[in-house]
Amino acid sequence: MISTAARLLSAVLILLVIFAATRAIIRALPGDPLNTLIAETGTTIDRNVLNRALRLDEPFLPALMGDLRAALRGDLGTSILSQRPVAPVVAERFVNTLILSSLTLLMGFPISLLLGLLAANHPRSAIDRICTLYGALCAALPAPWIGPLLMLCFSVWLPIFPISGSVFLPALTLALIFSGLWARLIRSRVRESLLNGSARGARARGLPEWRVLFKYGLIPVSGSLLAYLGTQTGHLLAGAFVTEIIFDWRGMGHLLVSSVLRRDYPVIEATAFFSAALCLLGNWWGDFLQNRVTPWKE
Amino acid sequence: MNIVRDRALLLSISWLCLWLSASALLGLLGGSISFDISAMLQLPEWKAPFGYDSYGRNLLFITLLSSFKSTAFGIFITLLSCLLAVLIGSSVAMGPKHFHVVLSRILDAFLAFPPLLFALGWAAVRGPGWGTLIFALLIGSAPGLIRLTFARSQEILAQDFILASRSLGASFARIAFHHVIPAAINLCIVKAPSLFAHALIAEATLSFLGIGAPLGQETWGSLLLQGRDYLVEAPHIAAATGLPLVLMILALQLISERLTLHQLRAKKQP
Repeated sequence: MISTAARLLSAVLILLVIFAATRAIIRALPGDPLNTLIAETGTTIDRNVLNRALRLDEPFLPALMGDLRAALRGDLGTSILSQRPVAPVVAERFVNTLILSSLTLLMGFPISLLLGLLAANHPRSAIDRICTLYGALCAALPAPWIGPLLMLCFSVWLPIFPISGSVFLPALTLALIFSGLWARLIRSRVRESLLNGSARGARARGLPEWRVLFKYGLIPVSGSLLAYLGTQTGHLLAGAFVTEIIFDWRGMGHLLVSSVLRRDYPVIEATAFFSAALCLLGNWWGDFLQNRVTPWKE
Repeated sequence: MNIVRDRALLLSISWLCLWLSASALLGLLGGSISFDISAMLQLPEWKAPFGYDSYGRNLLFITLLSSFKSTAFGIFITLLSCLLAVLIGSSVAMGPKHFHVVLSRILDAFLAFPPLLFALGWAAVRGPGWGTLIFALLIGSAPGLIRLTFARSQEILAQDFILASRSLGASFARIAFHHVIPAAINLCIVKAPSLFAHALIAEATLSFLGIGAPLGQETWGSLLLQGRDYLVEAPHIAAATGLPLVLMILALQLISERLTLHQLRAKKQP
């Protein structure tokens, strides 16, 4: 009970630190932040209005408190370039990124599960080699290369998907990049549990091979696999950011990168905070699962 | 590790040597590449096996020149990460215990977020450029490597032979320079090829996004961007500029794997 409360408290503290860090970006600008900002964005908004809106007229801590109070009310500021409130835009883009990542998991995970399980069950066979080769190949594919090539294959030569605005191709790219890693991971973990667990006894009792594979190979390590998936949230998010740019899918990464390039600070602050918080959530979820499923490790 | 008998390894090393020496030759001799608007986006022919790019330049030469910058950058980052990892990892492991926790927490903070997020935050302040690229690639490679060298140094320090040599009167410096640092360097040598591969991918990705190499500087990432922009008119740009990169990453991964195997075998039969 106490440890849960302590964890919750530390989580809130870490989130506050991240919030402060994202708000410090604008103050870290070289020279007078306001001058730099006006010069970089070329905005026509009045200097004094901007100064007040970004709370640059106050010292850092009071401004941070003010921002925090506004953020708790759901007000994340206004975009300098589009003059629209940031919060609804971020929410809309977040949903798009969520769609992309879920579809990636949906496409990539079954393939890696199938390949990993088969390879684990037949060591040194052809399927084992295919799994290793697939893993090495997928890890060597830079998203900015394989993305456009998939676009070429499936939107230009074989016009199955539209060239932009479709979620399938970015999800396919991401699934391709990540499934190799997942397949290799599943293969090595399941093989370990097949060797060390009670799989031999189960085989001797005459259980069908597929049941041995699931019950004595996959189930014992599923907790640590799920936990690993939690720690992968950040990498999946970063991968989604890159593919969003390649395929012009309007998700959070698209918003973050384009606002970094155009120096739209209120948008940068909000998206960076949400992305960092999502990574942390993934890590915590992984830790939680790890502790729940394998308590003897503590 | 038998290089001659292992055909995949031989192929990887020869590809690396071929491409790196060709690009270094072109890069160091400062070969100038002629613009020829009439050849714009033209398909490969015998004089230009990769075809021509959007400025009518020979794409093979441009890819070699750009990859010279990218690989030089990747090697620089890899060496810098190894240096940092050996220095920080071994010195903190040999230092007082409460520093161990501090280092672990700092590394946790870096490893909890994808390097791309740090890179974007940095780019929001400093804008794109070589400095941003150095920062982003270091954040991507150094913390993981420091954690490994730190763990390895701790492992070495806990061994019996360290206690034995201490009781024989070995000094702090002797233990550091004869046992801890060599082990950390050994680890870095095994990890270096895959770090280099990661640096190449990260450079290409960041420059593609526009937060890496400064405008007008051509690297592998900016060539990939050109490939995407002319995907429909000239698909050969996208295919040809990335293929050498993928082959290079595959070769580096293979070398890294063989090095790891070699070291495992060496450990088993001393």
